[in-house]
Formats: sequence, C-alpha cells, structure tokens
Amino acid sequence: MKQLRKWFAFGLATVVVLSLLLASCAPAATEVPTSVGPVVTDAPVVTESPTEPPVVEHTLTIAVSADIAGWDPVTSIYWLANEVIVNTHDTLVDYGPKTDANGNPVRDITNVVPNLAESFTDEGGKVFTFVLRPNAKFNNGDPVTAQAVKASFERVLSIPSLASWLLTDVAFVKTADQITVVDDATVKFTLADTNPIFLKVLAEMNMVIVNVAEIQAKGGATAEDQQKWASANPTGSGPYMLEKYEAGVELVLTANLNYWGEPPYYSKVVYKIVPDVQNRLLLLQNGDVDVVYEPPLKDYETLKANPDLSVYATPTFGTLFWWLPFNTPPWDKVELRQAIAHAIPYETIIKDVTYGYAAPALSWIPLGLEGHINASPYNYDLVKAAELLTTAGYPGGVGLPTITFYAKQGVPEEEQVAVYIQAELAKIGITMEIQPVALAAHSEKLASHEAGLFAFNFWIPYVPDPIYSEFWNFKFSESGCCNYGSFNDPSVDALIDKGLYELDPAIRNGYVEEVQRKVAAFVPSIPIYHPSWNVAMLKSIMGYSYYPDTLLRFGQLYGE
Amino acid sequence: MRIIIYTLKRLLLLIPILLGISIITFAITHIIPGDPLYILLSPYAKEDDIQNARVELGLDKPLYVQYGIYLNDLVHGDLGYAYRTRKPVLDDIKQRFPATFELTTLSLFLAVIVGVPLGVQAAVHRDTWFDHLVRIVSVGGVSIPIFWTGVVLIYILYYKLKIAPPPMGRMGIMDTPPDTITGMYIMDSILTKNWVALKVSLKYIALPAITLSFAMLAPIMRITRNSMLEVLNSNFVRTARSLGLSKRTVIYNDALRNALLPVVTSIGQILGWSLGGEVLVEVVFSWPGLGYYAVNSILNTDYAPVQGFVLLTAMIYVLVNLAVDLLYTVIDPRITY
Repeated sequence: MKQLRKWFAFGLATVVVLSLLLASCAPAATEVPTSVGPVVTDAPVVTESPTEPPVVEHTLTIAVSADIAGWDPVTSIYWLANEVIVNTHDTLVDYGPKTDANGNPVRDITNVVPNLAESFTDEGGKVFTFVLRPNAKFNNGDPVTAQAVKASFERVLSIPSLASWLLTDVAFVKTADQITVVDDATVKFTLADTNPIFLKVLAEMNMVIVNVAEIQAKGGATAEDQQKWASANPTGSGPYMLEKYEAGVELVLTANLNYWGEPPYYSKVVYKIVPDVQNRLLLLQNGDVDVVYEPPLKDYETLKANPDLSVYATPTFGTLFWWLPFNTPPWDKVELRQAIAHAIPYETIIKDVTYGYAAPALSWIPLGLEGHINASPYNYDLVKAAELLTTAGYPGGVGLPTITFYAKQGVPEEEQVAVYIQAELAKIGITMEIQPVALAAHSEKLASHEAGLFAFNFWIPYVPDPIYSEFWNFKFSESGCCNYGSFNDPSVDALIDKGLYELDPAIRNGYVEEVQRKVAAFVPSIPIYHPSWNVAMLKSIMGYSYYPDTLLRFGQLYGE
Repeated sequence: MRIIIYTLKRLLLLIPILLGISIITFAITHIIPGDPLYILLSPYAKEDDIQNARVELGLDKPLYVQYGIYLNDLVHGDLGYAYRTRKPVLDDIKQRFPATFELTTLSLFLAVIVGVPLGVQAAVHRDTWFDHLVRIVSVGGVSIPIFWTGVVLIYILYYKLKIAPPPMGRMGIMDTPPDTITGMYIMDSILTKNWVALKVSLKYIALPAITLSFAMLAPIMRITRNSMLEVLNSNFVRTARSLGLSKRTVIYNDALRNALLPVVTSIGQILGWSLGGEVLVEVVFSWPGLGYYAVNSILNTDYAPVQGFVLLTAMIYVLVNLAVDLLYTVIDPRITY
C-alpha cells in the first residue's frame, strides 16, 4: 500500500509538471510563425522575365538588436519597421544618387526622380501630375492604378497621425478632393498653395502606396481591425514582400515576383534578432551575417582594418540638441544659457564620445541643408562663460540652483556627453546632477514640455528640408515634438510659415538663415553635434547608398 | 486520497496568490514614472492625441477600475495586448515559453547529473584535493557572472575555434525547425522523428545550456556535499557499514536517499528561478525566450506583457514547489500529507 501511494505521489508530481508544460507551451502549428503571402522556395530557379523568380537565390542577412513590428506606413514609429516598409512598398518619387564630398554614396536631396510614377510634372509648385508605371503591381498581383494611389492617400488623411499631418500641413493636401484621377494611370494633386517641398514629402516613407482594396477585403469590418491587419501585412508594390515574421527571432523578406523594376539581386533578406552588440560584430566578422547597423564607435577602426568588411560612416542631418528651460527662472536669463553654451567642450565630446564620427554643430540647421549658416557663436570658452555668469548676476555660479539633467536610459553616448558637460560646468561654478530615467519617462518629460527641464533630444528630419526642421524645432507649440521648451517667437513663426510656401530658393534660404540667427541669439537649445550614420557589411556587398532617413534599400544591393 | 485533497488545496491556494500578485504587479507597473502612451504613439503626437489615446485605451479611468477591467479580461483568458510586438500577450508567451522551458530543463538536467555525483564524491572524499576542486568550481559557479561565462564560451568556441554554431538563437538561418507540437525543438524533433532538426537543435542549445547549467551546478553541488556530510556522519550509516554492506551501496542507496531532501528543495527553487527567464543567457545567445521578452517590455513600459510574465512565473513557482512537496513523499516515506 505504501509503495502504491509512493508511486501515486510521484505520478501526481509528474502530472503537475507536465500539465504546466503542456498548458503553457502548445501553440498550434499554424499560429507561429506568422506567414504572409506566397512562400518562395530556397531552391535555385530559372527566370526569363522580371515576373519570374531570380536565377539564383542570394540571401542577405542582417543582425539587428530588437524586434521589428508594425508595418502600417501611416502609423509606423519604429525605425526597423520603417525599413521593412520602404522595401515592401514604393513612394511615387525618390531621390537620385550622387557621391558626397567624402566619397560616400548618398542620395541627392536636390534631385527628386520618378519611382513608382514613371514621370511627373510640376506646374508652378501647386499642381503636380504623376503618370504611373504601366507594369506596376501590388505584391498580390493587383495593378497599381491612379484610383489605388488616390485611395492610399485618402487612407492617410483618414487616420490621425504624423503621416496625415504631413499631408495636410506640410504638403498642403488638406482633403481628398485635391487628388484627382485623370485616367487609370494618371493622378493629379492640386495643392492648397504653392509648396516647394511637396515632392520631398512624397519621397518620405510614410507616403508609400498601399493596397487599400486588399486591406479592406482582408482586414475585417471595422477601421480598427483593418489598421491592425495592415500593421501586420504589408500590401505594397516594392521589390520585397514579407514571407515570415517570428517575433523575437527573425523576419524574412522575399523578392516580389510582381515587382515593376529590375528583380533584386538578393532574393531573400533575413533579419536576425541578436540583442548583444558584441555578438553582432562577431557574427559579421565570421561571415555569418552580412550587415550590422551602428556598430559601437569604439570598434570602428578595428572593423575598418578588416579587409573582408566595408564600413560606411556617412554624415547625417541629425542633431543632438540640449534643450534648456528658458521659461524657468533663473535660466530665463539669456546670459546664463549663453554661458552654458560656451562651457560645452564640443571638440572633446566629438573626439572622445563619438570617436570622431560626428560633425561639429555650427548651427541649428546642419551643413548640407539649404540655408545653413554658421550661426552659433558658442565655441568652447570657459573665460567667456564665466564672464557671462557675472553679467547675469551669478559670478562664479554662486546662487544658481543645481541643474537636474535627465539622461535617457539605454543611450550610453548621451550619458557620456552629459558627464563631459557636467565636468566643464563645475569649472565655472554650475553644479549639474545627472539623473537617468527610463525611455517612457524621458519621452513624457519632453513631450509634455515639463517646466525646468534639461534634457537631450536627438532630431533627424525624414524630410530633408531646413524649413521642415525649423518648423518642428522652433515654431511655437505647447506640447509634443520637438519644440520642447515651447519656444515662442512670433517673428520666427512668421518666417517659418512663409518658408513653407516660398518657391524662390534665395528668398526661402533668407528665411532659414534669419531663423537660425534669432535662435542663436535666444539659445532655447544648444546643438551639440551631428552624428554620422554607420553601417558595416561584408566587402562582397555592393551598391550601398545612404538615404536621409538612414533606411537601407535592399533592392539596390548586389553581390560582387 | 489525502494526497489528492492536499494537492487540490494547494492548487486552490493558487487563486489568492495569483490575485495578490496581479494586484501588486498592476499597481507597480502603473505607478512607476513614464506614461507608455508617449512611447506607443508617434513622438510627433500632440497632447490632444495623447489624451484621445488615453481615453480610447481606458487609461483615463481610476486605477481600481482599470484593474477591474484587467481582472475581467484575465479570467476570460485575455492577458492583454503587447504594443511592442503588436500581438496578444498570450500568443507571445505561448511562442516564447517553450524556448525558455527547453533551455532551463536541459540546463537543470545537466546540472543535476553532474552536480549530484560530484557533491557526493566531494563529501565522501572530504578535505582531499577532489573536495577542494569541487569547492573551487562551486565558488566559481556562484561568483562568475553568467553572461561572462557565455561571452567567453562564444568567443573561444564560436569566434576563435569555430566549433560552436553562431549565437543566433535556436537554429541557423538555413535550418528548418521541426513541426510544432510542444514548441520545444528537441522534443518536437523526437516526436516527429526529424533527426536532422534534432541534431541542429542540440548543437544550438549546447552552449547556452552549458552556460546556464554552470550557474545551477554550484548550489546543487554545495547542498549535496553538505547534506551528504551530515548523513555520512549519522548513526544509521555507521550501522550499515558495520553490518558489512559495501561502501557504494551505503553511499548511493542509503546515504544519498536521505541526503536528497534539501537537494530536491534547492532544485525546485532553481527551476522556479530559472523559468522566470534567465535573461542574461537569453540576451547573450539571442535565445528567444520569456526573460528577454519581459525585460524588453519593462524597458518599453509595455504593461500587459510584464503583468502576464509575472503571473506566469508566479504560477510556475507555486506548481514547481507543489511538485517538490509531492516528491518528498517518494523520497522519504515517513512524510505524509
């Protein structure tokens, strides 16, 4: 009896463990991974036309740090998701290629070229007509017609988002009536006013064309359901389509057999999630992955010395801004903000924190955008900084409150920059405490324009235009991105508003310059540096070109 | 019969435990600074958009009302929606739990089959060089950070010697996983007789399992050794030896059985702790398990996955301890419930 009871107890213990196991880990075979679209086999296949699979399977593998989800172009906010979007969809127009002063392959932001549109005309900066490519198809085989393009933009207008705001307030397409279907292949936009950057907005990733008919047919009855479906199912006409997504593991793109352009060299692109950055580098150096984004800058020279790797460090239009609480006493005294600006060791930070892979910020608009001037008079000068403190009535910093600087957790460079600044401020008598905060808390402090806030914000304009940058950073706004101190100068607002409409480049650049001068005098924020965008890949991969949005276009890459 | 009633009682106790944990987790995740809406929405969102989303998601309601809604969803099997992965939390957990469970159980198995015999031998050969070696290994297992062990193994075996597979998760890019039954690749490979997948799975799990088992090994060895020392000095062992029983029989049949109770307790605790997600091993080996998922969710202030993860971990911990308590009656017949 005792023996029986013993085995019964043992059995019960086993059942508890097994039931726990089975109850918790029995996903149906069809649930994971999510598969979308037709599956392309790995076997080599033969092709004679662009509508058939490429001749040989080439796989491009990219090691990335985190999950990639949410591919609805209208609502996407994650950088990697944006990269999936630009490779699975098309914009009507794109930027042409060029080589920058350092020999880096980049896009020419002054040369907008046709893309999904075969051609376009610009009538006085107010009426734009696009003729679509006759062979353009969505990845499900539906033709890309003028009606489909109009429906795609109507969808953008219907979902409150950055994309809809871009369309209405920056591109001046306020209602769907402004988009006219001329014929099946021709679509016309009549803007509410003249617009010098309409084409640049259309080249932006949020403006890719989606297949609304497919979203409505498969996405469910409600708009909310359709939005959820669209965020998991790219429906574009781009060179790639989503084959598989397994959260936390990998995402696989395969060549779109319906693509209107040249079939991509890489018939498969695999994102592997490798959280540890050093592992990503080891995988690249051993040839197990092909591309790694943003390798640690300290390892950059080692990677450059590796004959098997190509490393690209391209200057960006991004800026690390330090926002100051100019509405909160005593920091409302401009001399105090100027003193802080003079106490920042810009060159040392670029040398020690970014290992030289950043450009000094000479203004609030980066070099390379039209209208940039060297507007910042704030070089590193502690004597000048001390004098300004005295002028402000705080000689030696006596009587000034301690600055609490909020550093975003998970971005070590920003914390390092803060440490360098902290040390220099101490030399002129200003005490600064660095308080790390979680991403959400940091975002909340910025977006709510918290009073008395000292914090960094990294800004990169997806629409590479100076007025666009000035609009976001310096036009008055009580909340949200990116005028985080609610900087309010009506004359600046007027210049920005005029710049949004002005077609004459010289006049427009004049507005851009004037805004920079006004901002430089007031110092609502301090530009610290413009970082470079860094990519390391195997030497055998050719065709890399830097885009202002930093997203890689896989269709342009090819093997040696 | 009594054991069934005991088991049912313990299972019923799960309800107040989980209820209490859900209240604590819910409160903590909602009190910590940082509004998740500022991450969920575009950074370009205006205050109005934030307020609208708050109302839409019910985050404007009092905390107790939000908890009531959460609890109601919970009893209907809805753990909420993970904004980071854009999937229901339950789906995410279903997908990731098998990876964590497989790694943990294999590591524990390795730690037990190595740790218990070593602990026994260390006790039998007390104060010899072997005992000292076991103690050094034991101290190393406790004091060496687990991620460091993983990084060193990857550097030497993968990067330098190229004999280990890349630290890219459960399989290589070109490998095909077995058909899903349990979600555990080794188990599924065996069940579907997919020997190729079995070989690949074992290859990929080897380094993370060795890394994790090294950390588990130390407490198991140490407790086995100490427990055995106590038992070996007891009267019944001396009596058994004096009756002429062989040393091996006395050690493994009599002494070890009596020394096993604290060892089993510690194994239960280690299993519960590890199933909670050995985050560092998962990060280092890109292992798509629950631990890394939970940490990512915490960093992104994604409430629902964190709550779901904590509830699951608590349930596992309680069930594992129940299983350990039931095992006591097998190991020591004097114990009854």
